[in-house]
Amino acid sequence: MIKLRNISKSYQRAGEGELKVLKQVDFVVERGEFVAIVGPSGSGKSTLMNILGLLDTADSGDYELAGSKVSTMTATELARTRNATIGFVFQQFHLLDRTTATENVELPLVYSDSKAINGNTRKKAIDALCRVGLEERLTHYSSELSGGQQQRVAIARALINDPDIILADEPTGNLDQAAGRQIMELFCELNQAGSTILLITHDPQLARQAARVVYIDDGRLSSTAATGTSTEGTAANAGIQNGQAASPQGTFS
Amino acid sequence: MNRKLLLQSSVRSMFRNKLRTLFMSIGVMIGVATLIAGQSLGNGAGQQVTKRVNKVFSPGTIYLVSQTLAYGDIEAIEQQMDQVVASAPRYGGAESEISYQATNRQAAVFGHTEKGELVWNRGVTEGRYINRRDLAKTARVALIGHRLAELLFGVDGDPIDKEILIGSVPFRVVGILESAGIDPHGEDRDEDIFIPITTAMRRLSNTEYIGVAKLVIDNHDLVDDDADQITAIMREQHNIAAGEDDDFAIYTSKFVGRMIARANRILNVYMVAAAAVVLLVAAIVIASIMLVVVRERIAEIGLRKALGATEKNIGFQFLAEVVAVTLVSGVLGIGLGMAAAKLVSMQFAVPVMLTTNSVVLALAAAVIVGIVAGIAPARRAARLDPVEALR
Repeated sequence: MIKLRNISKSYQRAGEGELKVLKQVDFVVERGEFVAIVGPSGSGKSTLMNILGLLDTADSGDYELAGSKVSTMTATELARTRNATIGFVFQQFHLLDRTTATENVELPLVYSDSKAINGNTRKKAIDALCRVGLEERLTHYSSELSGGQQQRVAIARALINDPDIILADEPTGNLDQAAGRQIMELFCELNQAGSTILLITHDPQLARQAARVVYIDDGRLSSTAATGTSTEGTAANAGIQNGQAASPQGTFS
Repeated sequence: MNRKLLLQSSVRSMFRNKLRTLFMSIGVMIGVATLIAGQSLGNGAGQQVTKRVNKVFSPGTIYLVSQTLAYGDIEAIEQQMDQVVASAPRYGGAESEISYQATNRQAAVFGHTEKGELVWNRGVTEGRYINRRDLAKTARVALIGHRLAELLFGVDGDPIDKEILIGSVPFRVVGILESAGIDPHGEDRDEDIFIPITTAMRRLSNTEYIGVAKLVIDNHDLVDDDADQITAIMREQHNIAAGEDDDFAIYTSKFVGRMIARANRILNVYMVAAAAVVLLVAAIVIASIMLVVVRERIAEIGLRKALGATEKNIGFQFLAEVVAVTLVSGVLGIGLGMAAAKLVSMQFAVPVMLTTNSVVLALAAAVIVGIVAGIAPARRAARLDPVEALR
């Protein structure tokens, strides 16, 4: 599904010279996996997420997404690919205000080339909202929904184009514990139903719920927590081992 | 891209911030209203003037004016030009004192020939017109306008065959003139008196010159050529050497038509220029509002890009939002302009005439303002980096 080879990215900082954010990253995600990428702020996980989500491009290296080479795509091709293969879930939900849940979920279809969907966008949006348990909130405006419900709308929006992969960037960061737990349960359900999910978080506790955990620190990926991290990291690592064993998708990785 | 959904969201965003949309529309509405009011009043007034002027300068007429215009000049023109269907001189127009018994009035006295009825388009409603015998005998007969008749003889009086005085010369009333109303100078033409031209020249003024003649020619399209020919005949008649100025003036129906058209055009250009200035200001206002809107909706733009919007999609969306506002404002502006024109027309008795051209022009102007004003904000929105925008 996702193949990163030798991906590097650096930024030019005024006065500070070049800042290497990603250093020759190799990363593979198979179809149907639930992978968490964990790392502290400044570790390069946002940059990695932007590159994985085709919002940004790497300076060097190869990126293959769902069988197509991404590194050579034009801006328009990248936009089309984003629309067809990736579903985003953001920390700040990013719903349009004064717009109903259904209309928010419909939004990706506006940019879809698929002729098949054009006729019944409303029905597809309602189906997606039913999948996340919001069949009672179809015509509610974003401002009338709780944080957890808003994030569910965002997840429905991510699902509507049947994406190959769901990219979730700190999806529980703005939610209380109970709502956060429910969102994570939803991700697990979606994964069990076949969705490939990539979770980006700074919270090792949360990452434990994924079938596989990858750590990022100082622009490098590793499958175990970096040496010298706290016992919490080790505990998380242990959790992942358990999760991996428990998950039916684990056999794919 | 699903254009229907995108346009729906454009219209929705227009209603989302009503006050801002109002500010964006007001300039376009006023500009378009100016354009429409100016054009429909200009067209209406132009048409009214043309109609009035056509009464005097009907197609295929030529006016010949000179202080030394003699009967012989007209005869020479008629002899040499077959295309002159009819011609009739007219003398005078000076105010004289008219009296009947103890009642006195000032009235304009005109000398006419028997052809005046046809050539000058004014006959009688009662009695008879001036005839050849009157002219030959320099008869003291008069035709009077119906207002003058009322003033001298009362509403129920019968003026026919009554004797009135023009100055101190007695005249017999033989006819009542057709009504001609108020002329463009504000004179009531229904107080006029017509007498035989020969009588006017010899008995009242003792002059050989007739002042003005009106000629009717058979082909309106050739009226300018005929005017050239009349000029040549007149120069010969008046012995004007080459290089010397004419001592007469010729006005053709086409010449006057061109003058009116030019006056209308100048008025039109001013109105269009005024509307253009308003619309330019409107475009600047809309562009600056939209640049703020783009900054405000930066997260939305980032989100749309993440969800698959291309630069073209984003640019199209913002342009469509602006054009939707200006187009609707244009339609409202047309209504506003028509209402304003109607108000003015009721005040000043000018007819309103709205042409399809004006409506198309107004709508095109509204769309162009939208595109001009929307292009910079749309480009800025399209080029936003989604990573920056989502931060």
